[in-house]
Amino acid sequence: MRSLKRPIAFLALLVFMMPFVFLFILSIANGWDFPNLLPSVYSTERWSGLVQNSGGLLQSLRLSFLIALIVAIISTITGFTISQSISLHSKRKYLLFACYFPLALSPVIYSLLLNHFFILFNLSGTFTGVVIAQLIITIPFSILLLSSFWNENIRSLEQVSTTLGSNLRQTFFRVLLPVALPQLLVCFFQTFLISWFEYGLTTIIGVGKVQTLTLKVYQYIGEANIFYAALSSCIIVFPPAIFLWINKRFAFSKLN
Amino acid sequence: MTLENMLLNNKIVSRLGIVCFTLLVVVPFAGSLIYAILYSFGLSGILSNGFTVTHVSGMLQNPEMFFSLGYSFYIALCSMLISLTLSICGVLFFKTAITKSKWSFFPYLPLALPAIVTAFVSLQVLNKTGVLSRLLYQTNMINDLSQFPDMVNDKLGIGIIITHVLMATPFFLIFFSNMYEAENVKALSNVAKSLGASSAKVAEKIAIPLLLKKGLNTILLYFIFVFGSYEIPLILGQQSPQMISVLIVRKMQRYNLMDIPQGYFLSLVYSIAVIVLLAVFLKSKKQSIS
Repeated sequence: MRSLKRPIAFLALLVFMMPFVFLFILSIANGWDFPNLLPSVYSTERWSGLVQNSGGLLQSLRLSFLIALIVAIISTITGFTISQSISLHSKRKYLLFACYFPLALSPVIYSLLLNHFFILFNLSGTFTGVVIAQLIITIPFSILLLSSFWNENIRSLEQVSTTLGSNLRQTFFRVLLPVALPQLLVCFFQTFLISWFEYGLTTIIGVGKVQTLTLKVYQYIGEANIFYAALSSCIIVFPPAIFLWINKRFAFSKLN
Repeated sequence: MTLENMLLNNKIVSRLGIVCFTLLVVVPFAGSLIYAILYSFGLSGILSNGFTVTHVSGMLQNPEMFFSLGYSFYIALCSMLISLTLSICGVLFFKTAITKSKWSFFPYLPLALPAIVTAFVSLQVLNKTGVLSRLLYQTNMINDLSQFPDMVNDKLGIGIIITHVLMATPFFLIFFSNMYEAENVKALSNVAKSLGASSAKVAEKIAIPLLLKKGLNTILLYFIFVFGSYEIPLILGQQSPQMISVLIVRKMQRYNLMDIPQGYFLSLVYSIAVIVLLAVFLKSKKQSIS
């Protein structure tokens, strides 16, 4: 059994790495005829064209980043403050349970059910509409993630700080925020990823007008343009992979 | 500031927070469900002519809805069974090395893949002219493309299941590996072994039941996630039967306006199924807490 450990670990490593390597190879390939296992011609043309915004990919990258950044900042701040309020409420168990509903529903179905209200408030097909729609999903997530922070220890810390003479602002910025920082970082990273990866909700509320990177991937798949689909996939997956590495190395180790 | 003032401030903060919570979480969810009920029974929408059960009975008489719900259940069940088996075997085999060794970053890598990209990779690997068929052709295991089985847009949803397994297995590997350490499974196993239990008996009676019981909530939530997945069946699924999310989108985005109320009713049925599953989740959570 022990002799099998290395080959199995190697196989698992190969499976985990394969999508990244495969996507990169496809993104620099020029033609991939059957039955060749690998493309015969390679070029960096597509990657260099990215800087010149060919196919609107650079614009989509900017848009995806901006939406994800706004969504992550707002949902982390809102989640932190609302989770504090919930922790003080007598019915906190039920309130936290209510947060699971918007998360458990398929985002595409939830957005279809909400679409009418977005049309009513002229938010359909707009940048603001997509941000609000994503916040409806990410805020309950942040609340659930940060609710564990408000435990008895934190409450005692808050009371000690108050009895020592600090006001509400000082307690928040000098006591609570530094203690909560690692958890806030994880929350920011997770909500950023939810927004960065979002497809169903963006396509319904954005009506195809808010062209984020995930929409570009689907568009290229539909056009059977596998090389551009691979390029846009690379732009989606490489930054989070690097971010994940940094997060695992620094933030997670601090949390542990 | 005195402690009394702090408590008063806490009360105000709490009330304000609850108002925000209601506006941001409860109102959108309740509003969307109420609107779906109104639309399904003809009380809202472009074609509404007052209360009617035509759309609901039309959908109930259509086997498409039941096939779709059954198909989604089948895909979710198969995906979960395979990925749970693989991840638990992986944890029992490698123990905490998954998250503790110098290679421990690699199981985290697939978490950086969104569903749409994973579906695209699966499409390029599993289709008739994909990587797998090329590999089999090059190694002379097949001589013609027709010999390669249909794994994409197929009836059994093999491509969809494989893609979900690829996404879920690394997640559960990390999850169970952390739990293996947190629940001190290694120490418990050592005690059992010193009392004469074999490795297989330890896995069967201690490790697997413990991991499954403690991880039940997450397993259930992941099941709900796969049940309602959209991007993967959209790219890798076939026209009929479709998974529930794909069918609902098709019904509600069609040019035939008569299909929209049916789509709303279908969404309602799906939402109720999710609420029931969540109620089971709450019950199991309560039990695990007690």
